Amino acid sequence: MGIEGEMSSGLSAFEDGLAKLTPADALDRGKLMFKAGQVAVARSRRRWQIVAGVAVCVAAGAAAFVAARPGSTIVERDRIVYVQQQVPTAPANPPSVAAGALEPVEQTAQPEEISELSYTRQRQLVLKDGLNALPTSSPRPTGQDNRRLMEQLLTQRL
Amino acid sequence: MNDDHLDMAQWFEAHSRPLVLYARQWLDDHASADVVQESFMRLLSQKRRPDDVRAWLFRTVRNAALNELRRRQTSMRHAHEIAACRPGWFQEHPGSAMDAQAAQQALQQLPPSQSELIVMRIWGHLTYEQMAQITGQAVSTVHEHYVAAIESLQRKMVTPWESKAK
Repeated sequence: MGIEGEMSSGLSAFEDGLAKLTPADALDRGKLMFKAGQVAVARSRRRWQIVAGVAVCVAAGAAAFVAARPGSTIVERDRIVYVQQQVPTAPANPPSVAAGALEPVEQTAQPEEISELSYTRQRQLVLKDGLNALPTSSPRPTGQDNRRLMEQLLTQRL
Repeated sequence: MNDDHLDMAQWFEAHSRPLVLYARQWLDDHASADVVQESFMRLLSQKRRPDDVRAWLFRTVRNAALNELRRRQTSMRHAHEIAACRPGWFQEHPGSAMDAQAAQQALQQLPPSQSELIVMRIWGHLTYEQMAQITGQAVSTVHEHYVAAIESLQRKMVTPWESKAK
């Protein structure tokens, strides 16, 4: 407070007398408010211009990135996958009367001569020595064999 | 009407007259009005509203008026003479104890460094701290200068003021 109140009574009365004088109105209020409106509009317009400019820059950058991006290439890679082959387990009980019916199974098992070798091994053999290096496979069962097997099954069932 | 316009209307009502009177310590009527108007425009275009709008306006008007004064320095004396001849710094109130014309003439006779303190204090209702910030002086110095200015003004007005009071 201090300094605010330090004034003689004569000067304070003089100050009060001066304060009763009202400064004259020299500004055109309407003109000022009109200009204020113009400034406000220009400011909001400038804000939108900045936003639009940034958006254009972002879009141009994205377009340039997409245009400059190299095209997609297909890369082939040989990958060796080792698969453990399942060995068919032999049945615990000896084949019963219907053992004859499993004859085709024995026939289909013959190609295992080839399949016992893994794919990788077969591939290595072929690359090294050619197709002759592959083990021979037994011939597929003929139609007569199948007919005979069918007749056997029918007679057993009857 | 947005908040800025409402605030602007309030600021205009509260500060425009003291600000024009303040600018008149350096400039003629027309230039004073222009400077004050520009200051209001600058206030509106501020990104962040000043903490003390009244002090900010007085400081801005002061800087703008001094810049304008420097620009017109060659014709300064002529402008002062024109301003001195023009009545109208204060509204005339019939029956007022203070003669508006005499107050204006007395203020015009004071150096601007003194008259600006009186305008800021009496019609701008600024504190000594605000006045010190605006003028760039110490608070105690501002107070001393203000007391000296008001005494000087009183001496210049003593005759017409006392005669009217009687």
